[in-house]
Amino acid sequence: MSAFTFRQEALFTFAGCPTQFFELALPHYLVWWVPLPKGVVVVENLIALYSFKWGFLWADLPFLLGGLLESLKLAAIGAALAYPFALIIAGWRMCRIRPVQWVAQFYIDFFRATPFLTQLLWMYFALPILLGIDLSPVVAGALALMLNYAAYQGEVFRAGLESIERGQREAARALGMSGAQALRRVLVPQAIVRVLPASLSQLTSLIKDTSLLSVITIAELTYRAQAIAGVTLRSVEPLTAAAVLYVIVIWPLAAVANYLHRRLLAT
Amino acid sequence: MKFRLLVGYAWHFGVVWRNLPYLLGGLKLTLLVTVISMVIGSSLGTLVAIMRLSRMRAVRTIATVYTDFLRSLPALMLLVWIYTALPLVTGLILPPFVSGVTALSLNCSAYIAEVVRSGLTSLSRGQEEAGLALGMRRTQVYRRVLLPQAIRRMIPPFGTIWVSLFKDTSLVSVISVSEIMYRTKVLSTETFRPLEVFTAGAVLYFIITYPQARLVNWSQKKLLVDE
Repeated sequence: MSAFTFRQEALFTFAGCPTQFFELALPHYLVWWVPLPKGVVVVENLIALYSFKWGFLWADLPFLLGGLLESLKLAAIGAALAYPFALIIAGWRMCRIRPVQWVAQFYIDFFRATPFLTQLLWMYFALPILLGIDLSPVVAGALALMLNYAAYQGEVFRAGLESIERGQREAARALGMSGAQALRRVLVPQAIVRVLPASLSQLTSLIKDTSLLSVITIAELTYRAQAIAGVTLRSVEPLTAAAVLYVIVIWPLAAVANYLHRRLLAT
Repeated sequence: MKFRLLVGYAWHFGVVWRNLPYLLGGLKLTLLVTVISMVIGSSLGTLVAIMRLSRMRAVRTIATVYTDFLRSLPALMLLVWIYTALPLVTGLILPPFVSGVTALSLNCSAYIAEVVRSGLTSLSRGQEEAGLALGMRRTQVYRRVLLPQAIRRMIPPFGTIWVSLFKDTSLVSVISVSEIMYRTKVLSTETFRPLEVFTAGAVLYFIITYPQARLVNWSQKKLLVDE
């Protein structure tokens, strides 16, 4: 039985000070003296509808943070695999041998036209049958992330390289550099600047898509939030916390991508 | 039809042909979800975009926070939150279809707000000033002068968002809305042939989405505006 009035209890739970799980640091008579404006009568009724018992959340926060770490790990693995493959795809796409171009174009078109969920489920359920080996969820997930993002990132690389005017490449060749040297010394340094904003926004997309890996039962943030909701039967706190965690990680990245876009590509 | 693969797997695409009507029936709900989400998302997004260009700082901030928040949140997370947590917070229990459409509309509205905003700001300021100089109110300037011109520039990005939304409807299969992805999953468990069924699902999405993507590319070339 709580020692506080309903009003105080409501204020504590809404403001995030869990009374059931921790010692209250603030003496109750201090809170009682906090003036509550008239308009808050309505707010109190809303609070009565659902009291956020954040105490549940503090106990599970390490579990959720581990999930966030898992998401970021998967995103890192996916990105690490996707970037080299994207370079290869971009190279094939710009190759002068027509069949190679067609293969790369088909790959890009296919992986951009099908939903990521479809690709992911195919990698997890269908690919093991095709290959005859068992794929763990993490391998299937990483593979799906790699293949999907290599398609988008390949287009980004290609657009970046092609946006450099032909004169640069011709000048490099005229100076006696081979094709590879021209690429390495002249084109790629210029391309990196053009490619950076779009690559960063693709990276944020990648991190957002790791939430889909929860469907493959990988214990990343979305999965863990749903697991807590299933065990404690209180879905609001873990899901809200997971959403906030995602926003905390992704918002700065997106803001940096926007800033870079304006700084580097403003013509 | 049976083919022999090198690894000795016998493909049974007959399973797919027999159940094709069921699979294609999922297209109905996919299109319904896409269209309704696009309509709601466009209305909401346009509103937020206009708010973003308001003279009042508070209104601009709300619109910016709205857009940035919804673009930083994974769509699946939003969907699950609306389906499981929203009923507990507000007492509003949304059936799967409605919560799916709500989540996708909200997600989509953030991207559309960006597109509309950049479409409107890409017009030279002279247009707005001329309208105001002619004595129009701000709402009239938007409706009669700015939006008609901006819409032409916004069509290709809208097309991209449409295609993206079409693919994102696969997420509502997690909420058991009977669209293509859900039916693919159901079919794969019923027929015990995940390889053929999932391949067919992927090919189905490709057949439907690829022409749309090509159409968007074509519209981008046709509607290229020369300043």
